[in-house]
Amino acid sequence: MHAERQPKDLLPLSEPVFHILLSLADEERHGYGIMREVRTRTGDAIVLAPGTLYGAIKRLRGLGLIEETATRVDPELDDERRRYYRLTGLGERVAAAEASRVAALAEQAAAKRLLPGWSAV
Amino acid sequence: MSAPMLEGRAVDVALRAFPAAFRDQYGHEMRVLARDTVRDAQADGTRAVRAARARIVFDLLLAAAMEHTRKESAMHVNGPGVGYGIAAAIGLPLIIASYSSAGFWSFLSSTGVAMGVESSSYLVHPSIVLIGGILMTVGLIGLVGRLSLGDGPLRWLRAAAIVGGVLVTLGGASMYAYGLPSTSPWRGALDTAGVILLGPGLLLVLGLLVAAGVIALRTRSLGALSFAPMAVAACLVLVFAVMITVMAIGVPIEVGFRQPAMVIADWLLFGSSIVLGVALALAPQPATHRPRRPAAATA
Repeated sequence: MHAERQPKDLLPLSEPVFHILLSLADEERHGYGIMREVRTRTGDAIVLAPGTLYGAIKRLRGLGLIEETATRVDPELDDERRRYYRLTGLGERVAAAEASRVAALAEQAAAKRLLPGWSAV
Repeated sequence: MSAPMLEGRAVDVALRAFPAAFRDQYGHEMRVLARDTVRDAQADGTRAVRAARARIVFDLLLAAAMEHTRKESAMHVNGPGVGYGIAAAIGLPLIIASYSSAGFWSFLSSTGVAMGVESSSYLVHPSIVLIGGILMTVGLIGLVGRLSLGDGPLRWLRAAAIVGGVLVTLGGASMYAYGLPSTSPWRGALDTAGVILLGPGLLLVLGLLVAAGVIALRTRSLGALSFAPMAVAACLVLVFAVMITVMAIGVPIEVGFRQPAMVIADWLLFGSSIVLGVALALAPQPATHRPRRPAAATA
C-alpha cells in the first residue's frame, strides 16, 4: 500500500504547472480554455503552447492532481468535441500549498523592502 | 500550399517527434490547440501568425525531446525484467554458439574436464539447445511484453515468439536421436526433422526480432536501448551470412568456424544480446499490458 502523497512533496511547482492548476481552480476547462484563461489572467505574459500544456497535463494527471471529466462540445467555440479537465482534491491542496509558499516568499521580500507597495492580505 | 495547410503539416511533423503513446493520447488535442492559437493570432496580423506558428513548432519539438527524456529516465531495474533480460542475454547466443563457435566448444570441453564431465557426449549439444531454446523463448516473450502494442498485435507477436522458440528447441532436441543405433530408421528421420524445424524456427525468431526492433524504435518502448532488438537481428543476419559463406566456399565447417569473421559475428551477437537483456531489465511492462484491477472506491 502506498503512503498518501503529501502536497509539500510536490513543491515547488513550475510556473506553467502552477498556472494550469490556478486555471482549473474555479471551473473545469479544456486545453484551449486553460490556455486562454492563463493568457488573459497574466495579461499575455504567459501563453501556453501545445507541447508545454499537454506535457504538463500528462504529468499532472499522472500525479493525480487533475483528472479528465468528459469530452464534449464547447458552446462558445466550434463544434469540435474537446476533453475537459478538473482539479482533484490533491490538486487543490497542492495549488494551495504552492500559493502559500509563494506568498511567504513575497512577504519575506516585502520585509526586505524589495516589493514596494506590497502588503500581505 | 496554403498557409493553414503548411501550418498543419509543420505541426504534424513536429507531433511525430513525440513518443507514440503520448501522441496517441494528446496528438489530436495538441493539433486543435495549435490551430486555435494561430486563429487567435490572426487578429494581430501576419507577423503575429508567423510568430505563433514558429513558437508552436519550436515548443512541440522541445516538449517532444523532454517527453523522450522523461520516458527514459523512468527506466529502472524491475524483477520480472531482470528474469527476461537474463534469458534474452543467454538464450539465443547459447544456441548460435553451439552451432557456429569453435571457441565455445573449446571452452565447454576445458570446463568439462575441470569438472570431470564428459563434454563430447551426444547428450551435450541437444541439451544446450534445449536450455538455450527455453531461455530464448522466455526472453522473446519478455521483449514482446515490453512493446507498446495493442492487444491484437501483441497476441500475434507472442504467438510468433512461442512458435519460433518451440521450433528451434525441438529442432535442437532432435539431436538426442544420435543416441539411437546408427541402423535405426528413426535416427535419420529425426535428424531430418530437426533440420526442417530449426531453419524456419530461426528465421521466425529473426523476423520477430526485426518486427520488435521496428516497433521499439518507433515507440521507444525500451527507452534509450530501443535499438537493442534490431541490433540483435542485425548480428544474427551477420552470423547467418558468415555461416552461409563458409559453407558456400567449401571450407570445412571446423575450419570456417574458427575464422575471424565467424568469431566476430558470434561475439557481436553475444554483446548485442546482453544489451537487449539490460534493456528488458530496465524497461517496465507498459501499463496497457498489466492486468486490470477493479477500480478502488473513492470517498
